[in-house]
Amino acid sequence: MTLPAAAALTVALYVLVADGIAALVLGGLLGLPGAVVLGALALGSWWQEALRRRLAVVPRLGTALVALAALGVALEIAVLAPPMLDAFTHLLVFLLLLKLYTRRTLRDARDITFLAFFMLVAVSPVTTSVGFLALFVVFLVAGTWLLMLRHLLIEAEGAAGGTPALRVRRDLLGLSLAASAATLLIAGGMFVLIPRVGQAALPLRPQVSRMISGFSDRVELGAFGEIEADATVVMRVHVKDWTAGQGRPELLSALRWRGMALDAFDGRAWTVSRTTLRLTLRRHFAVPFAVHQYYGGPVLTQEIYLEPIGSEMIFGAPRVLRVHGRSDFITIDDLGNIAVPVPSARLNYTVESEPEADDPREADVADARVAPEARWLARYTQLPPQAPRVVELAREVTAGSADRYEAAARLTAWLSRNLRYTRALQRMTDLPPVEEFLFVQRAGNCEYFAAALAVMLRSLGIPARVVNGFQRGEWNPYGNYFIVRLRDAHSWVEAYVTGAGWISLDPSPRGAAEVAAPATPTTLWLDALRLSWYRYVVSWSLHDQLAAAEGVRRATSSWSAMALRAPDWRSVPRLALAALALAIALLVLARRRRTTGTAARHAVPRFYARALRALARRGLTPAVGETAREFARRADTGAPLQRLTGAYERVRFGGAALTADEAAELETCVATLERPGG
Amino acid sequence: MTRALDLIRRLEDNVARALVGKPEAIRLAVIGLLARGHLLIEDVPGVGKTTLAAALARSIGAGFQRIQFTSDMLPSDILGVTVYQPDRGEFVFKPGPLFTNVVLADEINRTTPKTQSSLLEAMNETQVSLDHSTYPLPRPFMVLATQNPLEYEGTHALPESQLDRFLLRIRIGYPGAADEKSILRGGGATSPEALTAVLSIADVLGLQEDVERVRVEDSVLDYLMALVAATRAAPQLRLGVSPRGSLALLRAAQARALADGRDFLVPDDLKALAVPALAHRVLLRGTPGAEADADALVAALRDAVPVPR
Repeated sequence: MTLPAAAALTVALYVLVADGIAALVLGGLLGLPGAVVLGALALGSWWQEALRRRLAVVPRLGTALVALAALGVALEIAVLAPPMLDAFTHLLVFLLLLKLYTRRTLRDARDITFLAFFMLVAVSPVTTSVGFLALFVVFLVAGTWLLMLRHLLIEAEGAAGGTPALRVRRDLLGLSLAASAATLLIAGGMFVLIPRVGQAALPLRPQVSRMISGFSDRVELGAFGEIEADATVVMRVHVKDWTAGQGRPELLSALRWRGMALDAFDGRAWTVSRTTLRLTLRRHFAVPFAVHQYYGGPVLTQEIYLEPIGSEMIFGAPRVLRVHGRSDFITIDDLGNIAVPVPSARLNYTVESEPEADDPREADVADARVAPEARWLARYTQLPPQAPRVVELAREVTAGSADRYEAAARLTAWLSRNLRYTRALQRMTDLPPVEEFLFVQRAGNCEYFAAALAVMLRSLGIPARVVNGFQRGEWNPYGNYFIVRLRDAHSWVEAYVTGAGWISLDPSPRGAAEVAAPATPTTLWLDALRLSWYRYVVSWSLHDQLAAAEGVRRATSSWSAMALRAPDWRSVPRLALAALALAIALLVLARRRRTTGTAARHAVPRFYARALRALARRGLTPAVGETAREFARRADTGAPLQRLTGAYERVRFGGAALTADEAAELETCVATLERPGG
Repeated sequence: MTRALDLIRRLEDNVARALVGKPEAIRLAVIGLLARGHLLIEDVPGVGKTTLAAALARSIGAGFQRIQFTSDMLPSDILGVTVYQPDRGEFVFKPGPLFTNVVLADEINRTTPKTQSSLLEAMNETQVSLDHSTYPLPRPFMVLATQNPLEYEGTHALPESQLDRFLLRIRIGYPGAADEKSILRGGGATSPEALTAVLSIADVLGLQEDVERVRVEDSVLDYLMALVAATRAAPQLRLGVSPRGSLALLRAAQARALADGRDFLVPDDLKALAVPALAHRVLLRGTPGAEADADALVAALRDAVPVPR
């Protein structure tokens, strides 16, 4: 398979241009309509050879146009004041089109390559998408290919003088692919090793294109309806450790990711009242922020990768003990709400939590046995005036309960048994929302359930608050993490029980009502890839590098310790087998290399091999100890073989290359020998 | 390249004016000169050994000395002596006949081993060490030694270690009938004394450097190794070719390539020189002195070694 080199170069060039445009779209620097127009314009330039020839003779056209573009961009920045990156993008796009429509030489090809590269560079700080990796790889492969072709064409031009009709073979493609692979490998190594000096933030383009909303410190009843159908991924929770825990973490059914608790209710909306805010400053880099007191149960360590979300909240399984993150400070209020105001520090953090026991009364926490003070009690039992039938209902359901925990559990069970979960919310009366939910609709979403439970608990004098957060989400076995989507947004209740502290209660019979289609393995796999991209590329920090170095150190020391220990004889056959397989593979590889190497080194020039075949058909073959010259003398077939032998010696032993004329002449000689009876 | 070829052609043609009908012998002598080697000419008297040496020396405008070796000769007769000069009150070195460019050592096997070895040392190191002083020999320096194979009476055969110092062993052989007739008529040959120099000493030194630049492809080198290895493995031989022998064959072959107008080696070069360059370095099992047998054996071994394609 051969291809004209010039055509291959053009194809590579347009692949690079397409790659650059795709990158702009990916980074949100170019809208889809803009991309379509730009793509069409770029593609249109392919056939504009005649135009290019005419433009080439216009003196100083390029200089004038570029000056104009620079002026335009300056004006744009001064008058319209767009983010710098947008102005830069406009300039890049203009230059790209200019170059595409005026390209004549190999230098222009190089310039276009640079422009495509700048497009990727422009996009790199504003995207965290894994798609960038694909675009980068495409650029690397096509770019290497283009540079090699360009070099080849330049060399050929220098050698032949004119425009050569150079053709490329498959081996060049293989070489370029190998070069790209090597470049990727080296770049990967450098990426891991070169110390990180800071997070590439988004200073050039401050606004993030799409923020996920839905979290605020005010929750109006029924406002969540739309969000709950949205499958956008909000966060990914990787369960790192489950110390002293029973069973696999992915089977923990009661897992929820707590966001913020709300304590004040005005009949329609839950809000956060004035709270005491505790600001915790970090004293040392690697020390985590302490949040809750540890009661001595199993500890779940979660690594959370959050999408840019319109909330400062830190999410985690309830009863967060400690938070590790990049931020230098976090705030914790007396509702247990944890917030980090720096957006980039919220993208990745680790939370250690102590999940609640099945029967929280068993926890028997000393702090929770102290009688609460009146002001505190008033805050969590505050209620707007309620219809008597709500309080009646609460009393009726909890009648005969032994303690507050039993009462709370009975109310929760009653709500989830007797009321229906629905997402279709339609007000039917003018009654307060909770009353309408309990007595008229008898159906609602999680917020209604949570609000109703909290109201009923408070009406009985049990301190309660509503909590917003996310359900457990979908388990991804490929990356060992939970995928939490926007539709997993959830509300539940925390009640204060003497002896146990705040306990979580979830009255929504949500699981039964909702059957979301499970994600396909491909989707899950792709999502796992995306997480790896975040984890190991986007948020790869100095801290990670130090941790990795420490891991290597620990691994080597454990290996050396293992080497000193008595060998485990059971593993010997397996190890021996592995070593044998490795040795065989190396041997085969070495042999292959040697044979191919020898073949390449001892290649008999093709013309001579053909001549030998032709002579063999006449019964003339060289003897073992017979040189080419002696054979030619013995064969005595005349000048053609003499000529071929001379050329063979020069090529084979003299390392000479044949000129085109010589090759043609030799071709005739071979043809003479191949002719029957010739 | 063409200049080198031109010089060599001129040299060969000039020598051929004195030594008629022996182009192969002349070619080998030139190869010896270009490869900085020494020649052992083994043949019956009267076939032109002296003529060849003298013509070669004349043609390159170099000094020439003929030393007739006899059984009563001493090393000082060829190297020179240190004598006391009363008027200057010191010892002065009087160089012997060896201090020239081309030396014809006639009938080298007639003298004692002591004298032989003093010559061979000078051949190897291109210098003479005498009385704690070292005297360099002029360059180019080439010894053409002759020995008569048929005379066994009163001769001291050269030991193998000394034979190894000669690059090539050649035979001149009787001239063809037509050539001999023209010699008898006195028309064909010019006397060596009448020859003019066609090359300068500098030309010769330049050509010697060109020889070293002749390209040797890897497979050709492998072929050389195989040739040498064949002599070492042959059961008929008591002694195979030494590494010095391999090097000698390589240098000689490079010189042959240059004389042939090439700047690269082909297997033919090695094949053609295998016998002159190797046969005198091997020892046959059985009776010593069977030189012709050695030639035939090396040729047979050579023809069995596969040629690189």
